[in-house]
Amino acid sequence: MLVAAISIAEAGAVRNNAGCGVGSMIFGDKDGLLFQLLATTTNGICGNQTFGMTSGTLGCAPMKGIVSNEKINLYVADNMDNLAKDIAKGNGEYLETLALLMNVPESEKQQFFTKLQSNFNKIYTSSDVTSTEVVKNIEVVLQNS
Amino acid sequence: MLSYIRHSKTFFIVPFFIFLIHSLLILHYQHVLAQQNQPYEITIDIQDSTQVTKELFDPINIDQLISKAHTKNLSNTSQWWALLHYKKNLFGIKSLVDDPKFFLASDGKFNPKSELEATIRYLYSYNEKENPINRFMARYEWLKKELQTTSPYEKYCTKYQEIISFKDTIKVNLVFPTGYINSPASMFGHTLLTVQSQYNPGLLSSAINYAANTNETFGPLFAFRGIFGFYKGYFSIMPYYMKVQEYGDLESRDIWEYTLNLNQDEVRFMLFHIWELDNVYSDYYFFDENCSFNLLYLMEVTRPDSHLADNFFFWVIPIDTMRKVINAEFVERTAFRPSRTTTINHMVSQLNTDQINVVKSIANQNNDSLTNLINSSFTEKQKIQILDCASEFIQYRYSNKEYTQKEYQDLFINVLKIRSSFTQTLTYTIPNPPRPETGHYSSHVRLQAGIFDEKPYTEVVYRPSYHDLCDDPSGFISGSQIIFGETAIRYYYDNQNLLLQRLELINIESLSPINPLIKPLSWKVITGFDRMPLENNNQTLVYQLNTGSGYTIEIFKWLQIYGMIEFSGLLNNNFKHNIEAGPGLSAGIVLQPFQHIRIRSYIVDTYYLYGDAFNFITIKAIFQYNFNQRFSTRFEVSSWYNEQWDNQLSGALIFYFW
Repeated sequence: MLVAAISIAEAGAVRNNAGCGVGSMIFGDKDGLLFQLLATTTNGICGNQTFGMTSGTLGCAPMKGIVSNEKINLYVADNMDNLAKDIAKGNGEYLETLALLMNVPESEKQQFFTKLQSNFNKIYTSSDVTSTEVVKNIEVVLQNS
Repeated sequence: MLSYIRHSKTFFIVPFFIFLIHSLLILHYQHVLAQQNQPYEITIDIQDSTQVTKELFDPINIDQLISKAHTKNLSNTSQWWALLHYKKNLFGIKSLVDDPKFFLASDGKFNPKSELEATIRYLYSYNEKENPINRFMARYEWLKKELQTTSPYEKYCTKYQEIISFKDTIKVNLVFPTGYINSPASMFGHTLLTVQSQYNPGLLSSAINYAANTNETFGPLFAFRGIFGFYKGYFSIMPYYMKVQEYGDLESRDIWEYTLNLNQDEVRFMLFHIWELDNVYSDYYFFDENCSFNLLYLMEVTRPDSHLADNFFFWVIPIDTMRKVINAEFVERTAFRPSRTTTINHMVSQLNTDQINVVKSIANQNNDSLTNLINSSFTEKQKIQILDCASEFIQYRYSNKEYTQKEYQDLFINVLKIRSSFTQTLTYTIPNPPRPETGHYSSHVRLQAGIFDEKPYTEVVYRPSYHDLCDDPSGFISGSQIIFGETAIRYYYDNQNLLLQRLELINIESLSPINPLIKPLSWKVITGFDRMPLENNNQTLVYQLNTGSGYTIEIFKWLQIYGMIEFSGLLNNNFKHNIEAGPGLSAGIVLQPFQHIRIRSYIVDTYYLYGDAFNFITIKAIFQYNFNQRFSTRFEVSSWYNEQWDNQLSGALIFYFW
């Protein structure tokens, strides 16, 4: 299930670690306009996002070893708080967006939302849970279906 | 930006700023977010160009192409002018782009014709260094059609091919985060574009933002440089959810999203042009060549006859550019994204007092509050409402730095854990306020006739911007008054005197009502020249500064009352020490009993302790009937007390324009 909507692995691989901050996000990075315009991303991901980090991944060091679900990692890291809120509520735009990133078919969406909501405690295991752990936990929860 | 500007209202009193008042007009706060690194070097795409051989260019006759272009008078078309951002001014033609690498001809910035020739040469002749199309895609796309000639480079330009071959529908939105009155930098709102496809809709779309490139954190210097174009403006791109967090969550600004009705050819052309402007700077002017203005070009190139970027003088207010785009029929759909504060206010309005008390108790980290809630007699729906409101409120308080990160994390996850145990979903439908473009126009002229102490007069008032508490509030931040540069000239009939009655440099009041959860401070800063009846039957021109802060209470949706503690200062060389200063109190009422009628009345009592020491009272009542976006009429009664009463009665017609 955890397959990004479009493969961006190769694009991720060629992006140089040009440093962080919005500066390096200004188109300067010439690895594909479409990649940037139509497949939202920032220039690196980091797995150490916790609740209450408002800086987002913009200030983070690019992570080595791009995984296929980079987009999901990135999205969860950047939207930790709002996503957790939607998962707890069982609906909302941030949850819809996660379903989209994870390629959840329209017909299975409600089930997906319910599953995440009822497993909230397994996904958000502690108050300082990191976004990488959250993604892993979601994966586990979904596999055990 | 500048924590200085954002967090400090006192910066208004810095005299330097008073001098530089206009800087506030369009000053935007995201400059700090702009790039910090040096712009990239142009990368040379060897791989692309090595596949192109000289022989491929044999069939192309450059001189013929150029003469064809001149025959068709291409250098004078609105499309070419839009692509190069040319503008005509008193001194001739000039492109507003300042980066030399945007031009191929040495005089390209001033000469559309020589730039066109150089462009044709560049795109259609052999060049072993780089693929020219990679640099000027939009110019190429247009010239290809006009000259009916394909460049051999086209096949080898991967970026170009990428965009051409992208099959999914791409939509572009013009996004307008409304004003943020607590930051002078963003009082007038901001505009940006988002680009989306089915792969990245909504939150995942890409936000294209134009901002000045600066790390300057010292307010006055920042303002000075911003006004006089010392900063370079660049386009940047980031996930839209970052912008939603910044504007909607942290700054509590509602966001309007206008989906443009561009067809796919137009969208592609816009993308080509954005690509051309990659790393290309224009000098940034807060006043006019600002974010909103530069976005207009991205839209104008798709439909050059719309002339979106024409007819702006002196300053560009974001809502004016929005209106222009809307009037040019670029918009097909509008959506509203409420801010966190708007969401909380809506949620609070649905709760009863007991529920609100529980929300407060949870947010105050009372240990038992969550357990008590579970065991309480509230219905499941009521419990859900409490928890949903609490989680938003906790986020709100955290962004106001009322918790440490640890406190916040513990509280937030505890609330969400309990929330997740209720499977009932609840959707909150927040009513859309009137759309911003439906509000009255940004400038106004007011023709006023009145009597001051039995002396009849006529007054002409010009307000460059923007809105006061008696104007129709639809489309504006509610409870806001933002006036810059209001000038009043008065003529008295009896002694035939023509006088400067008032020059209000800044007049800002924020009356946002408190509710049981959110208690924003109401405040005001007014400074400028004004005539005050300090002597018998005579008004003296003084320079005044009047500040205040307090709270506003909303009795009904249509009735607010407020009270403030004030501090005022007056300058005039007739005063004992040239200066009068002291504290004061004020109270007022703002009401809108019917849709078109706004009434405001207030009293200010100031004790000037320093200087000649006197008590000065102002009482005012204003009645305004707002006909529409263009017209309103206003009646005003004023009384001033300084050992004796002076009175004034006036009626005015207001014409809004721009």
